[in-house]
Amino acid sequence: MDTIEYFIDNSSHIADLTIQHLILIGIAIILALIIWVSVGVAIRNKDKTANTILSIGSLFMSIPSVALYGILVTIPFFGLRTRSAVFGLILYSMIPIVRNVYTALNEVDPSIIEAAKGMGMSEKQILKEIQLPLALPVIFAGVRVALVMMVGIATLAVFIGEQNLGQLIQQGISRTRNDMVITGAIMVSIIAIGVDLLIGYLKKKIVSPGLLFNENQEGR
Amino acid sequence: MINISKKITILTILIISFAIIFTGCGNGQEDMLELAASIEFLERDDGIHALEEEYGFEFGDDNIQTMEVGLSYSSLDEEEVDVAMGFATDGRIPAFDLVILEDDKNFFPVYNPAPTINNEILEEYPELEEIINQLPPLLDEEKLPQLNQEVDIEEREPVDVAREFLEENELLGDYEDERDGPTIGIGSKAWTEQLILGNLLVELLESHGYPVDDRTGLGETPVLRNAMESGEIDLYWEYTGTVLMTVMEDEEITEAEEAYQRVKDWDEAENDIIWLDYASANNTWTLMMLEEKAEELGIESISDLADHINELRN
Amino acid sequence: MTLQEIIDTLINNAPSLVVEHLQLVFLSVGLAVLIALPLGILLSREKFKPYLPTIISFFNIAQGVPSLAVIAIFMPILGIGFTSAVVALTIYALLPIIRNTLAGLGNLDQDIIEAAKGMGMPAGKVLLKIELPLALPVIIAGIQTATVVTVGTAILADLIGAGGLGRMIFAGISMFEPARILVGSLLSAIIAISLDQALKYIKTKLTVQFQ
Repeated sequence: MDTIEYFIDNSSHIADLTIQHLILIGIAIILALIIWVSVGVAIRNKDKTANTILSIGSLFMSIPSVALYGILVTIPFFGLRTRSAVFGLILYSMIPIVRNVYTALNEVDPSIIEAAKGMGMSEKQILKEIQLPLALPVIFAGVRVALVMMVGIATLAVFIGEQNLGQLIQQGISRTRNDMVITGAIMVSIIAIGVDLLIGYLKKKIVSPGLLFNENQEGR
Repeated sequence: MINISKKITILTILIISFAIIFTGCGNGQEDMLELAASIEFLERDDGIHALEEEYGFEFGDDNIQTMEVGLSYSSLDEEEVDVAMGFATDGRIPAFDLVILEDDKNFFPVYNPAPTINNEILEEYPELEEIINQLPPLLDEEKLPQLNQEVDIEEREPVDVAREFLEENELLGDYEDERDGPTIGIGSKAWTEQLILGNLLVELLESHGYPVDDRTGLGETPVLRNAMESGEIDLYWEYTGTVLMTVMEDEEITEAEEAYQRVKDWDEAENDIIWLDYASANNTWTLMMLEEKAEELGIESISDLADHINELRN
Repeated sequence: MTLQEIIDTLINNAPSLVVEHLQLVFLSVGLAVLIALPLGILLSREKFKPYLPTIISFFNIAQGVPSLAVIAIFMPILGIGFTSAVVALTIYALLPIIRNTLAGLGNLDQDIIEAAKGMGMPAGKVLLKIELPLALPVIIAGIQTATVVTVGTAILADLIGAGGLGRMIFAGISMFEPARILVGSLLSAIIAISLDQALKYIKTKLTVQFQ
């Protein structure tokens, strides 16, 4: 079939584009984690601020990603450079990560925290050694959602000049090349699903089994 | 249980929804010819409306669909529209059995492509002028469409076609390492001919050892001009007619050399952009139709089209 | 980008594109509901119980497919244009609705259902008078998600020539006109938020309480 032929003939080009795609997401998720986990931790005890911040995040989510990119490129600091794409991805990952960090930290059983305080642990210690580890499954879930979303949104960054798998789709449409379009669509789908399954697998490996057991019991 | 008032609410919403859906359907006269054009062409001063004025007819806003140029060929093929704007050198014209309507009143200006380069980079590498100017003389009215067809019909990749062309003409250098100096950003628009032209530059310069940033397929004219200004890119092929009409907003010129000199002088003075030599290929806008349909309606030129539409209106 | 440009865009270009966008959204979500609801109800029945985990896994995985990919895949199959876009959008909207239908029907208090069956209510009536009304909030939440997502995805539909606000936004990007990008994106955000609120309101009105 045409598509298979196209894939074979251009496999190195496709590989390049795939790597570009992954690099973009990689940079974005690392920065996103640094920023948003910090934010989530910072607002864990401040409900009002948390609500405001989460509302702002929701607002960003309802702005179509292509539009956000379009606006960013008109700002001189960002322009047609990769930083616009990275910034957009970071903004869209805000809600999945911040919301999950905030919620998870606040759902830690108060009695455990009381016990820890009783044992003389400082707030910082409690955070580091009890709250965060217990919140890990939910935070992982948030990262998973953020990453899968990023695969799709990164695809759209080609409209502001990024070179990644989205190019196959965009060029395919523009040049009436069904083989390119199908190849592109299948590739990004595979990456998205792959990332989803990978994080799911990592979660099982990294998060303590006891926590996962609890999570599954609650049916979510 | 769902009671009456809620049922009414749901029903009302459904009715309003269907109303909205169906207001869209069924408008415009039957048989009236539909046109597909890009937004740029619709809004340019030398675009559709100027064309309509010159030829004395009107499509009518209801009968114009805007879409990206790349899609217009398919839209004719799938009979979504009857007439479409496209580029004269596109390989899909023969591939989809489309015909170009003759521009009997010479409305469309010339669009000769030439490499445009930021003066700053040229000053850094003055030898680029000579290297790059080897290209334009080789890209004449026959050659450029031929290269386009290799991509559009034979489905080869622009970069491969470009490379082969350079090899055939023995233009590739064999510089092993990379020179020191600023990176040269090379851009292009996102369609076949531009991709080929852009890749010609990328492959050529890289083979001579220049540090190149491949930004082909970046976007349309405004995006590229903007990128040149900001320094995102330093070099890309632009068309004399395009800058003349849309950037300078000047009057149309149908003579190649005259158009070229005009834009060359202006861009150098105003924007510090240097136009290198131009190619004789003229990639102008055209109105296209399915060959079958054009024959059926007896339309060969844009004047024929104008007559036909005027008849339909009366 | 001047205020004048924004107003011009709003007055000249916006109205017909907004209508077109709404058409895309309403048609797609409407069709998705018509397909997903019965399908979800069917899949929640006893005979499918053993397959449920697999089915849910499948849907979870399918959820990951990026919207652009779904839209793009239909170009080779159905060509370009409004109809092709509606098909793609409908399929993309099916997922949240089916998932929520399954979740809603699957998490019901079994006691009430058992009681009704015990009273001799036929299965069809149990579904209609008890299961569905109780599951309705979750199902409508699914429709909410589907709608908001469709408003955003419909923007991409312009890539295959469907029109709508995507046309305004992409035109703005390709012609470097911030006014169009701004107006297009703000309008789609407003539409998404409004539809979400409207459905939320309907959800509260239709939530059934059993004493």
